[in-house]
Amino acid sequence: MKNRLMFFFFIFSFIQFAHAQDGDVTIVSIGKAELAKDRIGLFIVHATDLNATQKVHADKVFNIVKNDIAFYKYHYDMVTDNLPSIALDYDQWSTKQFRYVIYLSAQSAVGIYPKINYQIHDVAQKKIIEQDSIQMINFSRGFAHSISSALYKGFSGKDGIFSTRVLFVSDVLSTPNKTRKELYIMDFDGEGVERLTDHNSIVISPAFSPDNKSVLYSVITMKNKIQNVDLFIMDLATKKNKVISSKPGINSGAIFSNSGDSIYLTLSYSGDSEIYEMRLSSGDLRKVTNHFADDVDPSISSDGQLMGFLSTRPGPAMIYTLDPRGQEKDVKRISFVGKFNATPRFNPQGTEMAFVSWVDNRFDVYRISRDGTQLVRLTKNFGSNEEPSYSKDGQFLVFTSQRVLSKTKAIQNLYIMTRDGEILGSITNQFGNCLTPRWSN
Amino acid sequence: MKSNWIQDEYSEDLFIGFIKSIALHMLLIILAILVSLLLKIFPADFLRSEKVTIVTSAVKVDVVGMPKMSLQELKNMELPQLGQAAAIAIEKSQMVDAKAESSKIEFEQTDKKKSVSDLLKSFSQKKIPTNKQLPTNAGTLSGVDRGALNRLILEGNKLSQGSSLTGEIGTTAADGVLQTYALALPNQIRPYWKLPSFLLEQNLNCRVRVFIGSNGELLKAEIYVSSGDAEYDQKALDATRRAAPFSRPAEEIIARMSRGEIILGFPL
Repeated sequence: MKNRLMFFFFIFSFIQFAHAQDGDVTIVSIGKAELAKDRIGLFIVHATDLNATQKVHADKVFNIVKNDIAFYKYHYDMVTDNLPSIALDYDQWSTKQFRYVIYLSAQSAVGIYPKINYQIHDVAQKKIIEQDSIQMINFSRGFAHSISSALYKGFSGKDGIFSTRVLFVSDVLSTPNKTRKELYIMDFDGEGVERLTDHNSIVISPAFSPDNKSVLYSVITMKNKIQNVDLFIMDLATKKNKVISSKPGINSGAIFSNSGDSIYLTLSYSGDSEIYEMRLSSGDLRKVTNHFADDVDPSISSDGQLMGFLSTRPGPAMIYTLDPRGQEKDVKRISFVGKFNATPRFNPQGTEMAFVSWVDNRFDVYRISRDGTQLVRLTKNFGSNEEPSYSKDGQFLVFTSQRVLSKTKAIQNLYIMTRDGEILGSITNQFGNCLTPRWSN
Repeated sequence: MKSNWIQDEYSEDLFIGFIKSIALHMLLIILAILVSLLLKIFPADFLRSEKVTIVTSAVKVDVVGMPKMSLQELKNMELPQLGQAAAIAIEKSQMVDAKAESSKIEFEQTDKKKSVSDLLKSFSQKKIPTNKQLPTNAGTLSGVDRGALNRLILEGNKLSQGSSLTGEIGTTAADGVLQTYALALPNQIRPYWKLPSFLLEQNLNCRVRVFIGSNGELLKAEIYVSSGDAEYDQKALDATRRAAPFSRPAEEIIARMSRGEIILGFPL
C-alpha cells in the first residue's frame, strides 16, 4: 500500500514539475497585417541616337506607361525617374530598399519608330527576371498599354488593368428639348472614347460578356405611345445589335452568366419585377426569384454559385444573395441598414460586393463581404456616388460621382478609386453626365 | 515444514509483485505511445501543458446604421497608446504644477507690503479670501496623486476599444494586470506589422513568445508556433523587435513578463 502511494506521489510530482516548467501563457492577437508596399523603381533611359520622330514616339509610349503604372501607386511605392543610361548597381538599389527596378528604354531602328526595350531586375536576387525588345510598327495607345501589362505582370506576377475598357452611358448628345443617353466605350484610363449606340433615346444598364466581345444594354422605347424598356445585345466587333427581350414592361438590368451561354435579367411582365435566367440560344426563361416584392439588379459571383440582388421584401430596398441555380434557393439577406441600398456588384473574385446606400441625402459607396460581414464605407464628402463596378483584378472600382453646381445644374463624372476607397481621380471630363460604368473582364 | 510454507508464500508474493510491476510498466509504455501519437495528430499548442489564456482586443458592434466613418478615416485614426497616454498625463500634471507655481507668485505678490491706497483699492475690488486658498488646495489635492488623477481623466476621455468579450479580465488581480498589459501590446506592434502582398494573401498564422524586462525592454522574442513560412515568421519577429521597447510593466507582473508569459498571435 505504502509503495503504491509512493508511486502515485511520484507520478503526480512529475506532472506538477512538467507544468511548472512551461508556466501559464496569455495569447494576445496582433491582428491582420497591413500591406507592405514593395518599392518599385521605374527608370526611363533616353538613348541619344534616336532621331527626332523616334524620340517623339518613344516619349509618347513612356508617358502612357508611367501613367498606367501610377494607377497602382497605392499598392506599390513607385519611384519614377529619367536616367541617361542603364547602370546596374544592385547593392545601391538594395540600400535604397528597391524590391524591383525596371529600365525602360528606346533604341534607334530603321524607320520612324524606335525599338522599345525593358528589363525588370529583382534586387534581392540580383538578376533580371524579365526583359524584351519590341519594334514599334505604329503608334497606338494599345501598344503602350501592352508594355505596361508586361511590366506589371513581370514584377507583380498578376494581370493588371491596362488592357481593360469601360462601358458607360452619357447624355452629351442631349439638347435642351430632348434628353438623349447613348452607350460609349473607352480605355480604363478615360482615353479612346467611342460611341456604340445611336438609338436617339435613353440607354441604361450595360454589361460586358465574359469574353468582352458582346454587350447587353436596355433602351427606353416607345411603341404605340406605350413606353417599354427593351433589351439589346451588340457585337462589339461589328457594332451590330438586336433586341433579345421586349416583353411588356421592364427588360433590363441584364448580366451574362459566367459561361456566356445565358443571361440573368429583370422582367416585369408578370406584374412585379423578378429575376430570370434566359438561354441566349433559345430564349427560354427560368425564374430565379419568385416573390411578391420587386427583385432587381442581379450580380453574379465568379463561381456562379451566388447572386447578389436588390429586393424590397422587407420594405426598403436591401441586398440579398441566393443560389442562382435554383428558384428562391438559399435566399439570404445581407444588408440590414441604410435607408435605401442599390446596385450590389460582386468583385470578380466573388469574395465581396460593392453597393451604394442613401445616407445624409446622398449616395455613398460601401463594401461588404459575401457573407454579410465587414461592412465598410468607401466614399465620404465626395459628392453623391453611385454605380460601383470592380476592375477585373478586384483592386479598383469605377463609379459615378455627382457634383451639384447650382439649383438647376449638376455634373456627373466617372471616377476610379482603390477597393479601400483611395480616390485616383476622374476618367471623364466635359463629356456630359456620365452614368452606369461597367468595367470589362 | 512451516518455514518452507512461509518461504513459498513470500516467493509467490514476490512473483505476483513482479508480474504487476511488468504490467504497470507496459501500461506506462502504451500510455507514452498514445501521447506521442496524440502530439502528432493535434497541433502543438493543443497539448501544451500551460494554462493558455487567449485575450482579444475586440469591439462588438451592433450595426444600427451605415458606418459614418470611411475606411480611409478609420485607417488614419490613431488610437492613443499607453505610453502616449502617460506622456499626455505627465504633460497635464506639469500644467497643473505650473498653475500652482503661478498661484504661489500671486501669494507672494499679495503678501507684499501694501500702501493705504492699495488697501483701499483692494477693498473696492472686494476680493474674496477663499479665492486665494483654491490654488493651494489644487496644488496638493490632499495627498491624492495628481498624475494618477489626470491619467484617470484622460483614460476616461480616450476611445476605448473594449478588452474583453465577457466583461471579465483575468481570474486574479495579477492576471487582470497582465492581460490589460497584453492588450496594450497590439497597438504598439501593429504599425510595424506589414507584409508584402504575396505573404498577405496566404492567410498564415504564427505565434511569438516575448520576454519583457522591468523597463519594458524586449529581452527576447522567439517563435512559439511557426507559420511554416520562414519569411512570415521573420516578419512577425521583426515587427515585435521594431515596436520595442514597450510600456513599463506593473511591479506585480515583472517576473511573469521576464518569464515570457505573453504570446503574440500574428494574426491570432
